[in-house]
Amino acid sequence: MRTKALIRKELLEQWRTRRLWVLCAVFIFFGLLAPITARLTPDLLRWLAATTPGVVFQLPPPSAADVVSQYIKNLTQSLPLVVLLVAMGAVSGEKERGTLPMVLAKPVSRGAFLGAKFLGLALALALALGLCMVSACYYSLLLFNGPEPGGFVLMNLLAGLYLLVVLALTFLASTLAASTVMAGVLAFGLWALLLILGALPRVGRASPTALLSWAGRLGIGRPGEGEWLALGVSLAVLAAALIGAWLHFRRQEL
Amino acid sequence: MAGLAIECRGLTKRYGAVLALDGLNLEVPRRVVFGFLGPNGAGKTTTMKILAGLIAPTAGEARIAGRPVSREDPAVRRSVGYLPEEPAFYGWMTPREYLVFVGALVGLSGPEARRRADELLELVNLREAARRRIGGFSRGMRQRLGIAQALVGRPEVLLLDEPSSALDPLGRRDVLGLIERLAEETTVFMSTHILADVERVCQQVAIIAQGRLLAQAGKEELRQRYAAPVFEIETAAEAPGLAERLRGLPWAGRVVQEGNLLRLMARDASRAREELPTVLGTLGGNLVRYEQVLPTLEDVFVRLLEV
Repeated sequence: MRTKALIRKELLEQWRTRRLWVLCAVFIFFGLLAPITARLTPDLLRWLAATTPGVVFQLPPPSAADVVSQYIKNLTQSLPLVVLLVAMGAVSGEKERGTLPMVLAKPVSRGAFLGAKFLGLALALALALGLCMVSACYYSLLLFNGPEPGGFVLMNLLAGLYLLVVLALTFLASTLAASTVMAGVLAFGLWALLLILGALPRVGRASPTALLSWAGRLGIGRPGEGEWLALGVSLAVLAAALIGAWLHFRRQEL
Repeated sequence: MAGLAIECRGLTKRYGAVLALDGLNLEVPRRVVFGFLGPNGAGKTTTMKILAGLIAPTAGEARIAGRPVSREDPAVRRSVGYLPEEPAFYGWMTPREYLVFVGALVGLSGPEARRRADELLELVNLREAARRRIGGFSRGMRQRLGIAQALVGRPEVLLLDEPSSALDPLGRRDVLGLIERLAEETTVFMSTHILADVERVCQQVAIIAQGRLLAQAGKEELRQRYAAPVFEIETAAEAPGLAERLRGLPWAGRVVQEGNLLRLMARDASRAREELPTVLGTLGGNLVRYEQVLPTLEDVFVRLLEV
Protein backbone atom coordinates (compact mmCIF):
# COMPACT_ATOMS: atom_id res chain seq x y z
CA MET A 1 0.00 0.00 0.00
CA ARG A 2 2.70 2.47 1.08
CA THR A 3 5.12 1.42 -1.65
CA LYS A 4 2.33 1.66 -4.21
CA ALA A 5 1.55 5.19 -3.02
CA LEU A 6 5.22 6.15 -3.28
CA ILE A 7 5.53 4.73 -6.81
CA ARG A 8 2.31 6.46 -7.85
CA LYS A 9 3.67 9.74 -6.48
CA GLU A 10 6.93 9.32 -8.44
CA LEU A 11 5.12 8.70 -11.72
CA LEU A 12 2.64 11.51 -11.10
CA GLU A 13 5.53 13.85 -10.28
CA GLN A 14 7.29 12.99 -13.53
CA TRP A 15 4.08 13.59 -15.44
CA ARG A 16 3.09 16.86 -13.75
CA THR A 17 6.57 18.39 -13.77
CA ARG A 18 6.84 17.49 -17.51
CA ARG A 19 9.99 15.51 -16.78
CA LEU A 20 8.52 12.40 -18.39
CA TRP A 21 7.46 14.34 -21.48
CA VAL A 22 10.90 15.88 -21.88
CA LEU A 23 12.60 12.52 -21.37
CA CYS A 24 10.39 10.83 -23.97
CA ALA A 25 10.72 13.73 -26.42
CA VAL A 26 14.52 13.67 -26.22
CA PHE A 27 14.66 9.89 -26.62
CA ILE A 28 12.26 10.01 -29.61
CA PHE A 29 14.38 12.78 -31.13
CA PHE A 30 17.52 10.65 -30.88
CA GLY A 31 15.59 7.62 -32.15
CA LEU A 32 14.51 9.53 -35.26
CA LEU A 33 17.92 11.13 -35.65
CA ALA A 34 19.66 7.78 -36.29
CA PRO A 35 17.87 6.80 -39.55
CA ILE A 36 17.69 10.40 -40.74
CA THR A 37 21.43 10.93 -40.17
CA ALA A 38 22.22 7.64 -41.90
CA ARG A 39 20.04 8.62 -44.85
CA LEU A 40 21.23 12.20 -45.22
CA THR A 41 24.96 11.92 -44.47
CA PRO A 42 25.96 10.57 -47.93
CA ASP A 43 23.83 13.24 -49.65
CA LEU A 44 25.42 15.89 -47.50
CA LEU A 45 28.90 14.67 -48.31
CA ARG A 46 28.10 14.49 -52.05
CA TRP A 47 26.82 18.07 -51.93
CA LEU A 48 29.99 19.09 -50.11
CA ALA A 49 32.12 17.37 -52.75
CA ALA A 50 30.18 19.09 -55.53
CA THR A 51 30.81 22.52 -54.01
CA THR A 52 34.50 21.85 -53.29
CA PRO A 53 36.61 21.44 -56.48
CA GLY A 54 39.04 18.52 -56.46
CA VAL A 55 37.27 16.58 -53.69
CA VAL A 56 35.74 13.23 -54.55
CA PHE A 57 33.82 11.07 -52.05
CA GLN A 58 33.22 7.44 -52.75
CA LEU A 59 30.63 6.08 -50.34
CA PRO A 60 28.68 2.85 -50.29
CA PRO A 61 24.91 3.36 -50.32
CA PRO A 62 23.53 3.87 -46.78
CA SER A 63 21.97 0.84 -45.10
CA ALA A 64 20.19 -0.26 -41.94
CA ALA A 65 23.62 -1.10 -40.47
CA ASP A 66 24.42 2.64 -40.55
CA VAL A 67 21.23 3.31 -38.61
CA VAL A 68 22.25 0.79 -35.96
CA SER A 69 25.74 2.28 -35.78
CA GLN A 70 24.37 5.83 -35.37
CA TYR A 71 21.77 4.62 -32.86
CA ILE A 72 24.43 2.94 -30.72
CA LYS A 73 26.55 6.11 -30.84
CA ASN A 74 23.60 8.11 -29.53
CA LEU A 75 23.05 5.54 -26.78
CA THR A 76 26.70 5.72 -25.78
CA GLN A 77 27.26 9.45 -25.95
CA SER A 78 24.08 11.47 -25.57
CA LEU A 79 21.36 9.47 -23.87
CA PRO A 80 23.35 8.58 -20.71
CA LEU A 81 23.75 12.34 -20.18
CA VAL A 82 20.00 12.75 -20.46
CA VAL A 83 19.49 9.95 -17.92
CA LEU A 84 22.01 11.61 -15.63
CA LEU A 85 20.29 15.00 -15.85
CA VAL A 86 16.88 13.50 -15.12
CA ALA A 87 17.98 11.30 -12.21
CA MET A 88 20.67 13.33 -10.43
CA GLY A 89 18.14 15.19 -8.26
CA ALA A 90 16.05 12.12 -7.42
CA VAL A 91 17.09 11.92 -3.76
CA SER A 92 19.41 14.93 -3.35
CA GLY A 93 16.69 17.24 -4.69
CA GLU A 94 14.28 16.05 -2.01
CA LYS A 95 16.97 16.58 0.61
CA GLU A 96 17.62 20.11 -0.68
CA ARG A 97 13.96 21.08 -0.85
CA GLY A 98 13.19 19.61 2.57
CA THR A 99 10.44 17.30 1.33
CA LEU A 100 12.33 14.17 2.38
CA PRO A 101 11.94 14.50 6.20
CA MET A 102 8.23 15.13 5.73
CA VAL A 103 7.87 11.72 4.04
CA LEU A 104 10.34 9.76 6.15
CA ALA A 105 8.73 10.93 9.40
CA LYS A 106 5.76 8.81 8.32
CA PRO A 107 5.67 5.03 8.88
CA VAL A 108 7.60 4.45 5.67
CA SER A 109 10.80 2.42 5.50
CA ARG A 110 13.74 4.07 3.84
CA GLY A 111 14.16 1.02 1.61
CA ALA A 112 10.59 1.41 0.31
CA PHE A 113 11.20 5.09 -0.36
CA LEU A 114 14.39 4.39 -2.34
CA GLY A 115 12.88 1.41 -4.15
CA ALA A 116 9.87 3.43 -5.28
CA LYS A 117 12.08 6.25 -6.46
CA PHE A 118 14.30 3.95 -8.51
CA LEU A 119 11.36 2.02 -9.91
CA GLY A 120 9.64 5.24 -10.96
CA LEU A 121 12.76 6.36 -12.80
CA ALA A 122 13.33 2.93 -14.36
CA LEU A 123 9.74 2.82 -15.65
CA ALA A 124 10.13 6.28 -17.16
CA LEU A 125 13.39 5.19 -18.78
CA ALA A 126 11.78 2.03 -20.14
CA LEU A 127 8.94 4.05 -21.66
CA ALA A 128 11.33 6.58 -23.21
CA LEU A 129 13.61 3.88 -24.60
CA GLY A 130 10.62 1.97 -25.95
CA LEU A 131 9.41 5.06 -27.81
CA CYS A 132 12.97 5.72 -29.01
CA MET A 133 13.20 2.16 -30.33
CA VAL A 134 9.81 2.26 -32.06
CA SER A 135 10.50 5.60 -33.73
CA ALA A 136 13.99 4.54 -34.88
CA CYS A 137 12.78 1.15 -36.12
CA TYR A 138 9.76 2.60 -37.95
CA TYR A 139 11.77 5.26 -39.74
CA SER A 140 14.55 2.86 -40.53
CA LEU A 141 12.13 0.33 -42.03
CA LEU A 142 10.61 3.15 -44.04
CA LEU A 143 13.93 4.43 -45.37
CA PHE A 144 16.07 1.28 -45.54
CA ASN A 145 13.68 -1.63 -45.25
CA GLY A 146 15.66 -2.82 -42.23
CA PRO A 147 16.91 -3.67 -39.61
CA GLU A 148 15.23 -6.88 -38.65
CA PRO A 149 12.85 -5.90 -35.77
CA GLY A 150 13.67 -8.95 -33.56
CA GLY A 151 17.38 -8.12 -33.47
CA PHE A 152 16.59 -4.43 -32.99
CA VAL A 153 14.48 -5.24 -29.90
CA LEU A 154 17.26 -7.42 -28.45
CA MET A 155 19.72 -4.60 -29.14
CA ASN A 156 17.50 -2.20 -27.21
CA LEU A 157 17.17 -4.60 -24.30
CA LEU A 158 20.94 -4.67 -23.92
CA ALA A 159 21.19 -0.91 -24.45
CA GLY A 160 18.44 -0.51 -21.87
CA LEU A 161 20.48 -2.48 -19.36
CA TYR A 162 23.46 -0.20 -20.03
CA LEU A 163 21.28 2.88 -19.44
CA LEU A 164 19.88 1.23 -16.31
CA VAL A 165 23.45 0.87 -15.01
CA VAL A 166 24.01 4.59 -15.67
CA LEU A 167 20.71 5.30 -13.92
CA ALA A 168 21.71 3.21 -10.89
CA LEU A 169 25.10 4.96 -10.61
CA THR A 170 23.39 8.36 -10.85
CA PHE A 171 20.90 7.23 -8.22
CA LEU A 172 23.76 6.20 -5.93
CA ALA A 173 25.38 9.62 -6.44
CA SER A 174 22.09 11.33 -5.69
CA THR A 175 21.77 9.40 -2.44
CA LEU A 176 25.35 10.10 -1.35
CA ALA A 177 25.45 13.81 -2.23
CA ALA A 178 23.91 16.58 -0.17
CA SER A 179 23.08 18.72 -3.21
CA THR A 180 21.88 18.06 -6.74
CA VAL A 181 24.93 19.77 -8.26
CA MET A 182 27.25 17.55 -6.24
CA ALA A 183 25.20 14.52 -7.26
CA GLY A 184 25.53 15.52 -10.92
CA VAL A 185 29.30 15.93 -10.65
CA LEU A 186 29.66 12.60 -8.85
CA ALA A 187 27.39 10.79 -11.33
CA PHE A 188 29.29 12.25 -14.26
CA GLY A 189 32.53 11.06 -12.67
CA LEU A 190 31.16 7.53 -12.23
CA TRP A 191 29.92 7.45 -15.83
CA ALA A 192 33.28 8.74 -17.09
CA LEU A 193 34.98 5.99 -15.09
CA LEU A 194 32.70 3.46 -16.75
CA LEU A 195 33.72 4.79 -20.18
CA ILE A 196 37.43 4.81 -19.30
CA LEU A 197 37.28 1.22 -18.03
CA GLY A 198 35.36 0.27 -21.17
CA ALA A 199 38.14 1.68 -23.35
CA LEU A 200 40.90 -0.37 -21.65
CA PRO A 201 42.06 -3.34 -23.75
CA ARG A 202 41.31 -6.28 -21.47
CA VAL A 203 39.14 -4.77 -18.76
CA GLY A 204 36.89 -3.31 -21.44
CA ARG A 205 35.48 -6.71 -22.35
CA ALA A 206 34.03 -6.99 -18.85
CA SER A 207 32.77 -3.43 -18.66
CA PRO A 208 29.08 -2.52 -19.14
CA THR A 209 30.10 -0.53 -22.24
CA ALA A 210 30.91 -3.85 -23.93
CA LEU A 211 27.15 -4.48 -23.90
CA LEU A 212 26.79 -1.78 -26.53
CA SER A 213 29.09 -3.47 -29.07
CA TRP A 214 27.18 -6.72 -28.51
CA ALA A 215 23.92 -4.77 -28.87
CA GLY A 216 25.22 -3.30 -32.15
CA ARG A 217 25.99 -6.75 -33.53
CA LEU A 218 22.52 -7.97 -32.55
CA GLY A 219 21.01 -4.93 -34.24
CA ILE A 220 22.52 -5.78 -37.61
CA GLY A 221 21.71 -9.47 -37.26
CA ARG A 222 25.29 -10.69 -36.68
CA PRO A 223 25.29 -11.48 -32.94
CA GLY A 224 28.72 -13.18 -32.91
CA GLU A 225 30.06 -14.13 -29.52
CA GLY A 226 27.93 -12.94 -26.58
CA GLU A 227 29.49 -10.55 -24.03
CA TRP A 228 28.25 -12.62 -21.13
CA LEU A 229 30.92 -11.40 -18.74
CA ALA A 230 29.94 -7.79 -19.45
CA LEU A 231 26.31 -8.75 -18.89
CA GLY A 232 27.16 -10.30 -15.52
CA VAL A 233 29.31 -7.34 -14.51
CA SER A 234 26.56 -4.91 -15.54
CA LEU A 235 24.02 -6.71 -13.38
CA ALA A 236 26.52 -6.77 -10.52
CA VAL A 237 27.25 -3.01 -10.87
CA LEU A 238 23.52 -2.34 -10.99
CA ALA A 239 22.91 -4.36 -7.83
CA ALA A 240 25.97 -2.91 -6.04
CA ALA A 241 24.90 0.67 -6.82
CA LEU A 242 21.41 0.07 -5.46
CA ILE A 243 22.59 -1.80 -2.37
CA GLY A 244 25.21 0.89 -1.77
CA ALA A 245 22.55 3.58 -2.03
CA TRP A 246 20.32 1.74 0.44
CA LEU A 247 23.14 1.04 2.93
CA HIS A 248 24.08 4.71 2.96
CA PHE A 249 20.53 6.04 2.95
CA ARG A 250 19.26 3.89 5.82
CA ARG A 251 21.78 5.55 8.15
CA GLN A 252 21.64 9.03 6.67
CA GLU A 253 20.90 11.88 9.07
CA LEU A 254 18.20 14.19 7.76
CA MET B 1 6.23 4.59 31.79
CA ALA B 2 3.14 3.40 29.87
CA GLY B 3 1.36 6.58 30.91
CA LEU B 4 3.89 8.84 29.27
CA ALA B 5 3.52 10.22 25.77
CA ILE B 6 7.23 10.93 25.41
CA GLU B 7 10.17 9.80 27.47
CA CYS B 8 13.84 10.62 26.92
CA ARG B 9 16.58 9.03 29.00
CA GLY B 10 20.12 10.36 28.76
CA LEU B 11 19.54 11.46 25.19
CA THR B 12 22.85 12.55 23.71
CA LYS B 13 23.69 13.72 20.22
CA ARG B 14 27.13 14.69 19.06
CA TYR B 15 28.00 16.22 15.67
CA GLY B 16 31.77 15.92 15.53
CA ALA B 17 33.06 18.24 18.25
CA VAL B 18 29.65 19.81 18.86
CA LEU B 19 27.52 18.37 21.62
CA ALA B 20 23.95 19.17 20.55
CA LEU B 21 22.25 17.13 23.29
CA ASP B 22 23.93 16.33 26.55
CA GLY B 23 22.11 13.54 28.37
CA LEU B 24 18.63 15.02 28.08
CA ASN B 25 16.01 13.53 30.39
CA LEU B 26 12.41 14.38 29.71
CA GLU B 27 8.96 13.08 30.61
CA VAL B 28 5.89 14.31 28.78
CA PRO B 29 2.50 13.17 30.08
CA ARG B 30 -0.34 12.35 27.72
CA ARG B 31 -2.97 14.81 26.47
CA VAL B 32 -1.22 18.05 27.27
CA VAL B 33 0.21 20.84 25.17
CA PHE B 34 3.84 20.68 26.20
CA GLY B 35 6.12 23.64 25.54
CA PHE B 36 9.72 22.76 24.78
CA LEU B 37 11.59 25.98 25.38
CA GLY B 38 15.14 27.00 24.81
CA PRO B 39 17.30 29.62 23.15
CA ASN B 40 18.53 29.11 19.59
CA GLY B 41 20.97 26.21 19.41
CA ALA B 42 19.74 24.68 22.67
CA GLY B 43 18.99 21.32 21.03
CA LYS B 44 15.25 21.62 20.46
CA THR B 45 15.27 20.69 16.76
CA THR B 46 17.75 17.88 17.36
CA THR B 47 15.41 16.41 19.99
CA MET B 48 12.47 16.78 17.61
CA LYS B 49 14.34 15.02 14.81
CA ILE B 50 15.32 12.14 17.09
CA LEU B 51 11.71 11.75 18.19
CA ALA B 52 10.56 11.85 14.56
CA GLY B 53 13.02 9.07 13.70
CA LEU B 54 15.02 11.22 11.30
CA ILE B 55 18.31 11.07 13.18
CA ALA B 56 19.71 8.62 15.69
CA PRO B 57 21.00 9.62 19.12
CA THR B 58 24.67 9.06 19.89
CA ALA B 59 23.60 7.66 23.27
CA GLY B 60 20.48 7.34 25.35
CA GLU B 61 16.97 6.38 24.41
CA ALA B 62 13.73 8.01 23.40
CA ARG B 63 10.28 6.42 23.67
CA ILE B 64 6.97 7.51 22.28
CA ALA B 65 3.82 6.04 23.79
CA GLY B 66 6.04 3.46 25.46
CA ARG B 67 7.72 2.26 22.24
CA PRO B 68 11.39 2.95 21.53
CA VAL B 69 12.03 5.35 18.67
CA SER B 70 14.24 3.98 15.93
CA ARG B 71 15.28 5.43 12.61
CA GLU B 72 15.16 2.00 11.04
CA ASP B 73 11.83 0.82 12.44
CA PRO B 74 8.94 2.76 10.93
CA ALA B 75 6.30 1.14 13.18
CA VAL B 76 6.61 3.65 16.04
CA ARG B 77 6.09 6.51 13.60
CA ARG B 78 2.45 5.44 13.29
CA SER B 79 1.98 7.11 16.68
CA VAL B 80 3.72 10.33 15.67
CA GLY B 81 2.80 13.35 13.59
CA TYR B 82 5.69 15.67 12.81
CA LEU B 83 5.81 19.24 11.61
CA PRO B 84 9.37 20.47 10.90
CA GLU B 85 10.33 24.08 11.42
CA GLU B 86 10.06 24.81 7.71
CA PRO B 87 7.58 22.35 6.23
CA ALA B 88 8.25 21.63 2.56
CA PHE B 89 5.78 20.06 0.16
CA TYR B 90 5.65 18.92 -3.42
CA GLY B 91 4.72 22.20 -5.04
CA TRP B 92 3.06 20.49 -8.00
CA MET B 93 0.48 18.79 -5.75
CA THR B 94 -2.73 20.26 -4.42
CA PRO B 95 -3.16 20.16 -0.62
CA ARG B 96 -5.87 17.52 -1.00
CA GLU B 97 -3.59 15.33 -3.11
CA TYR B 98 -0.82 15.73 -0.56
CA LEU B 99 -3.06 14.75 2.35
CA VAL B 100 -4.41 11.74 0.43
CA PHE B 101 -0.81 10.74 -0.34
CA VAL B 102 0.08 11.03 3.37
CA GLY B 103 -3.06 9.04 4.18
CA ALA B 104 -1.77 6.17 2.05
CA LEU B 105 1.62 6.42 3.76
CA VAL B 106 0.07 6.10 7.21
CA GLY B 107 -1.94 3.10 6.07
CA LEU B 108 -5.40 4.49 5.30
CA SER B 109 -7.41 3.01 2.45
CA GLY B 110 -8.20 5.23 -0.55
CA PRO B 111 -11.71 6.30 0.55
CA GLU B 112 -10.54 6.75 4.17
CA ALA B 113 -7.61 8.89 3.06
CA ARG B 114 -9.85 11.09 0.91
CA ARG B 115 -12.38 11.49 3.74
CA ARG B 116 -9.63 12.35 6.24
CA ALA B 117 -8.09 14.84 3.79
CA ASP B 118 -11.41 16.67 3.49
CA GLU B 119 -11.87 16.70 7.28
CA LEU B 120 -8.42 18.15 7.83
CA LEU B 121 -8.72 20.75 5.08
CA GLU B 122 -11.83 21.93 6.90
CA LEU B 123 -10.03 21.89 10.27
CA VAL B 124 -7.09 23.98 9.09
CA ASN B 125 -9.29 26.27 7.03
CA LEU B 126 -7.86 25.33 3.64
CA ARG B 127 -11.08 24.04 2.10
CA GLU B 128 -11.20 26.92 -0.37
CA ALA B 129 -7.63 26.25 -1.51
CA ALA B 130 -8.06 22.47 -1.80
CA ARG B 131 -7.59 22.46 -5.58
CA ARG B 132 -4.82 25.05 -5.80
CA ARG B 133 -1.20 24.03 -6.24
CA ILE B 134 0.79 24.11 -2.98
CA GLY B 135 3.60 25.88 -4.85
CA GLY B 136 1.60 29.11 -4.68
CA PHE B 137 0.76 28.92 -0.97
CA SER B 138 1.72 31.59 1.59
CA ARG B 139 3.86 30.72 4.60
CA GLY B 140 0.80 30.62 6.86
CA MET B 141 -1.08 28.30 4.53
CA ARG B 142 1.91 25.97 4.34
CA GLN B 143 2.14 25.92 8.12
CA ARG B 144 -1.54 25.01 8.44
CA LEU B 145 -1.15 22.33 5.78
CA GLY B 146 1.90 21.14 7.71
CA ILE B 147 -0.21 20.67 10.81
CA ALA B 148 -2.90 18.91 8.77
CA GLN B 149 -0.41 16.42 7.27
CA ALA B 150 0.91 15.68 10.76
CA LEU B 151 -2.63 14.86 11.90
CA VAL B 152 -3.64 12.53 9.06
CA GLY B 153 -2.90 9.29 10.95
CA ARG B 154 -4.59 10.52 14.17
CA PRO B 155 -1.24 10.37 16.00
CA GLU B 156 -0.93 9.91 19.74
CA VAL B 157 1.85 12.48 19.78
CA LEU B 158 2.17 15.58 17.65
CA LEU B 159 5.67 17.03 17.32
CA LEU B 160 5.61 20.68 16.25
CA ASP B 161 8.97 22.33 15.71
CA GLU B 162 8.64 26.12 16.06
CA PRO B 163 5.12 26.07 14.61
CA SER B 164 4.57 29.82 14.75
CA SER B 165 8.02 31.39 14.61
CA ALA B 166 7.87 32.59 11.00
CA LEU B 167 4.24 33.62 10.89
CA ASP B 168 2.65 37.06 10.92
CA PRO B 169 0.37 37.88 13.89
CA LEU B 170 -2.78 36.64 12.16
CA GLY B 171 -1.15 33.41 11.01
CA ARG B 172 0.20 32.91 14.52
CA ARG B 173 -3.21 33.42 16.06
CA ASP B 174 -4.73 30.85 13.71
CA VAL B 175 -2.03 28.25 14.36
CA LEU B 176 -2.16 28.69 18.13
CA GLY B 177 -5.94 28.43 18.07
CA LEU B 178 -5.60 25.20 16.16
CA ILE B 179 -3.07 23.82 18.64
CA GLU B 180 -5.39 24.62 21.54
CA ARG B 181 -8.16 22.65 19.85
CA LEU B 182 -5.86 19.71 19.14
CA ALA B 183 -5.03 19.19 22.80
CA GLU B 184 -8.41 17.52 23.25
CA GLU B 185 -7.40 14.54 21.14
CA THR B 186 -3.62 14.26 21.19
CA THR B 187 -0.42 15.17 23.03
CA VAL B 188 1.18 18.24 21.50
CA PHE B 189 4.93 18.57 21.99
CA MET B 190 5.83 22.01 20.73
CA SER B 191 9.27 23.52 20.54
CA THR B 192 9.52 27.27 20.48
CA HIS B 193 11.45 30.27 21.69
CA ILE B 194 8.36 32.49 21.63
CA LEU B 195 7.37 32.68 25.27
CA ALA B 196 4.05 34.37 24.61
CA ASP B 197 2.96 31.29 22.64
CA VAL B 198 3.84 29.02 25.53
CA GLU B 199 1.99 31.30 27.96
CA ARG B 200 -1.06 31.05 25.75
CA VAL B 201 -1.35 27.38 24.86
CA CYS B 202 0.94 25.18 26.96
CA GLN B 203 0.06 23.49 30.24
CA GLN B 204 3.51 22.05 30.89
CA VAL B 205 6.92 23.41 30.03
CA ALA B 206 10.48 22.15 29.80
CA ILE B 207 13.37 24.57 29.41
CA ILE B 208 16.61 23.39 27.89
CA ALA B 209 19.93 25.05 27.20
CA GLN B 210 23.10 23.63 25.72
CA GLY B 211 21.41 20.28 25.27
CA ARG B 212 20.47 19.89 28.94
CA LEU B 213 17.19 20.09 30.76
CA LEU B 214 17.13 23.08 33.11
CA ALA B 215 13.61 22.67 34.44
CA GLN B 216 10.36 20.92 33.75
CA ALA B 217 6.99 21.57 35.37
CA GLY B 218 3.58 23.11 34.91
CA LYS B 219 3.61 26.81 34.03
CA GLU B 220 2.40 27.99 37.43
CA GLU B 221 4.78 25.72 39.29
CA LEU B 222 7.68 27.04 37.23
CA ARG B 223 6.77 30.60 38.05
CA GLN B 224 6.53 29.86 41.74
CA ARG B 225 9.67 27.78 41.85
CA TYR B 226 12.03 29.76 39.68
CA ALA B 227 10.86 33.33 39.14
CA ALA B 228 12.11 36.10 41.38
CA PRO B 229 9.53 38.65 42.58
CA VAL B 230 8.95 41.26 39.92
CA PHE B 231 8.11 44.94 40.39
CA GLU B 232 6.81 47.17 37.62
CA ILE B 233 7.49 50.89 37.81
CA GLU B 234 5.77 53.29 35.44
CA THR B 235 6.74 56.94 35.05
CA ALA B 236 5.00 59.77 33.22
CA ALA B 237 8.20 60.71 31.40
CA GLU B 238 11.40 58.75 31.01
CA ALA B 239 13.39 58.89 34.23
CA PRO B 240 17.06 59.18 33.30
CA GLY B 241 19.41 57.22 35.53
CA LEU B 242 16.65 55.39 37.39
CA ALA B 243 17.46 52.00 35.86
CA GLU B 244 21.14 52.44 36.78
CA ARG B 245 20.26 53.42 40.36
CA LEU B 246 18.04 50.39 40.76
CA ARG B 247 20.71 48.08 39.35
CA GLY B 248 23.12 49.37 41.98
CA LEU B 249 20.90 48.28 44.88
CA PRO B 250 22.14 45.14 46.65
CA TRP B 251 18.75 43.36 46.60
CA ALA B 252 18.00 44.18 42.94
CA GLY B 253 18.50 41.72 40.13
CA ARG B 254 17.76 42.23 36.46
CA VAL B 255 16.25 45.57 35.45
CA VAL B 256 14.64 45.96 32.03
CA GLN B 257 13.51 49.32 30.72
CA GLU B 258 10.96 49.71 27.92
CA GLY B 259 10.25 53.40 27.48
CA ASN B 260 8.54 54.67 30.61
CA LEU B 261 8.12 51.18 32.09
CA LEU B 262 10.75 49.42 34.17
CA ARG B 263 10.65 45.79 35.29
CA LEU B 264 12.77 44.96 38.29
CA MET B 265 13.46 41.44 39.45
CA ALA B 266 14.22 41.45 43.16
CA ARG B 267 16.60 39.01 44.81
CA ASP B 268 15.07 39.85 48.18
CA ALA B 269 11.35 40.61 47.96
CA SER B 270 10.88 41.90 51.52
CA ARG B 271 13.81 44.34 51.29
CA ALA B 272 12.51 45.46 47.90
CA ARG B 273 9.07 46.15 49.36
CA GLU B 274 10.70 48.05 52.24
CA GLU B 275 13.21 50.15 50.34
CA LEU B 276 11.65 50.68 46.91
CA PRO B 277 9.20 53.43 48.05
CA THR B 278 12.13 55.50 49.36
CA VAL B 279 14.02 55.18 46.07
CA LEU B 280 10.93 55.95 44.02
CA GLY B 281 10.02 58.89 46.25
CA THR B 282 12.75 60.88 44.57
CA LEU B 283 10.78 60.72 41.32
CA GLY B 284 8.12 62.97 42.75
CA GLY B 285 5.24 63.62 40.34
CA ASN B 286 6.92 61.64 37.57
CA LEU B 287 5.90 58.35 39.23
CA VAL B 288 2.62 57.01 37.81
CA ARG B 289 2.51 53.66 39.61
CA TYR B 290 4.58 50.86 41.04
CA GLU B 291 3.40 47.41 41.95
CA GLN B 292 4.52 43.85 42.51
CA VAL B 293 3.32 41.77 39.56
CA LEU B 294 3.15 38.06 38.75
CA PRO B 295 6.37 36.92 37.14
CA THR B 296 6.04 35.86 33.53
CA LEU B 297 7.48 32.80 31.87
CA GLU B 298 10.05 35.11 30.34
CA ASP B 299 11.24 36.00 33.85
CA VAL B 300 11.60 32.29 34.63
CA PHE B 301 13.34 31.66 31.32
CA VAL B 302 15.80 34.51 31.78
CA ARG B 303 16.51 33.57 35.35
CA LEU B 304 17.20 29.94 34.52
CA LEU B 305 19.46 30.85 31.63
CA GLU B 306 21.37 33.37 33.74
CA VAL B 307 22.16 30.86 36.45
